Amino acid sequence: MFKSTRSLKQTASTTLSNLELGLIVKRLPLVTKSLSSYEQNYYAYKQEIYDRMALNFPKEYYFPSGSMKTIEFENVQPKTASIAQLTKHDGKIVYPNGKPELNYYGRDMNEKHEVILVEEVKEELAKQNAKMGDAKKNAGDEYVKFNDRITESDLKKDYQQLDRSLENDLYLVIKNNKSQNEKWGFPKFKAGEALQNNKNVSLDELALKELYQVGGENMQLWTISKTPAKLLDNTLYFKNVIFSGNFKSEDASIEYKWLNKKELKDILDKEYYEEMEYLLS
Amino acid sequence: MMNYSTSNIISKRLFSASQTINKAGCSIVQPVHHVETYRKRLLSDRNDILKVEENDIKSHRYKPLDVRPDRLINHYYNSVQPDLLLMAYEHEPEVVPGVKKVHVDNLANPYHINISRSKVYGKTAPYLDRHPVTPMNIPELLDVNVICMANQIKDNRYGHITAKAILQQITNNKPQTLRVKHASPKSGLRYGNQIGGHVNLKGFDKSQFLLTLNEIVLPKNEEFKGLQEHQVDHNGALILYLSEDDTANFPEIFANRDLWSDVYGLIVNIRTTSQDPAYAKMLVSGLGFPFHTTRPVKEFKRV
Repeated sequence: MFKSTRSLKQTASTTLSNLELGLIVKRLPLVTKSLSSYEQNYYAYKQEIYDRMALNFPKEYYFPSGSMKTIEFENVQPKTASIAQLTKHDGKIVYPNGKPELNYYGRDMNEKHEVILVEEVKEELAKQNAKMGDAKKNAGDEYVKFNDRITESDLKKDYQQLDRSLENDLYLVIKNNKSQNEKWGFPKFKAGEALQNNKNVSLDELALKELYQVGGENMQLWTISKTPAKLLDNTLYFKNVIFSGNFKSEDASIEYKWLNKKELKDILDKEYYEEMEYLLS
Repeated sequence: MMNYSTSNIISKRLFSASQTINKAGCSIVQPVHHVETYRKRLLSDRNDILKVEENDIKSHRYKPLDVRPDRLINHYYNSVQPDLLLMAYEHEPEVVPGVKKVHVDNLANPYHINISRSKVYGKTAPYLDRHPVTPMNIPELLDVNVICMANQIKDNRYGHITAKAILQQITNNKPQTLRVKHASPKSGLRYGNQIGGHVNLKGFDKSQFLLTLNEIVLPKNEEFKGLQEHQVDHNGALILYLSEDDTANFPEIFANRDLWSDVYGLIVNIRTTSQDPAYAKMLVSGLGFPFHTTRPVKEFKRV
């Protein structure tokens, strides 16, 4: 997991004059990952086990005996055979699908306890009486509508917005077009002058200062740790998280993108990506 | 000196060779040993199913914990765990052994020979060994214990039923009964009296409880600014004392507030595997709980 041998070799050549500070700025995922079909089946299977192993609905807790609501509730429920009757006529009953294993309440152990609410039955009856043609459409308006997992920025492929690829981490990459042969990479700055000017400032804070100079101060960033996550080619990389705001550079020659791990693989150099891959999620 | 062959001599203690010759080759009578008593019911295979562990599907106590995707645990594995590894990094890490339980003789009076050992003044509870955080050893959530106790059990002796109902509604788990361990004449309670319930939360229920607590219940409290740092235990546990108003803010109770004549406070114990209060704080804050310090953290006194 850790390639320490390479970094040890590089430490010999690093000096304060050519030291560079890098930043790995990430946006945390905003929604849970969408499930594969295997995962969906797995959770459905577990939920079925959970339901049929659960105790029966505690009727006595919600419906005190003798009240009108209790009688209404009991009338709606599907009727089940009593255990006393089943045991009495044990030899006489024929089970075509095999004898079921019953629990304490007389419920088949392979099925969950289904509870029918009185209000649901009343609603259905009311709809039937009124003969409403577009009942389903009206009912749909009452419930909560979830937002789509794919946003507008996803469809437009607007890589500069942060409200895209909601399921994954997004990382800030920068390219400076001033000099030729410049490549995409995580933002990094030369520390030589800055170190001399700010002597009592830690390296992670210096890196943040440099980023604010380039990308504006409207980003709300948080440095995870003062210890660098990576040393690569005289550059110390610090991990950061963005909570709000966005990168806005006044310099038109600086391009930026927020990319997830899959997209980084396409845009970064192969060697560079392989070095940084284990830091990304 | 007489020369006896070794085959004739059975033992050097025998003085005559004829004694061995007269002896029978084997004993006809069976040796009588003592009778071994055993409990017959332990030998039956009837209760073998009880020996199966709880997380095995054969067990009668089995309850599937992963019934749906868990966003708190997903967040932990995606971002909190790798970040914790970086945050807890130390140069030249060392294993700091925790203090074991200490007993010191009370030497005040040397004439009391059989005097009982008194504890050292202060904390003598055993501390955990503090290992450096490695990829094998990243602090993790263990489980959450929730306790609900009835307040005035003297006036309302069925209060424990309400307390257990609150727990059942909030946590979606069947609570265990909480009983009095130390009777006191002041409260009028006796040993073994029921005073409430307690629940051990694991799996999805654990995450669901923590998320509702952090995102719905605590923000409704206007006075709440954040958790205090000193609430973290030296064993890596964080203990929260929720008031009655906080309990009433849980959505299950808030929706039908009129149904609940009495609502009691909760004690929430969030247990982690961290061996240091600092690591536990990192983990819990990483899971989204805000922290607010009013005073500097007091280091636990290591006796």
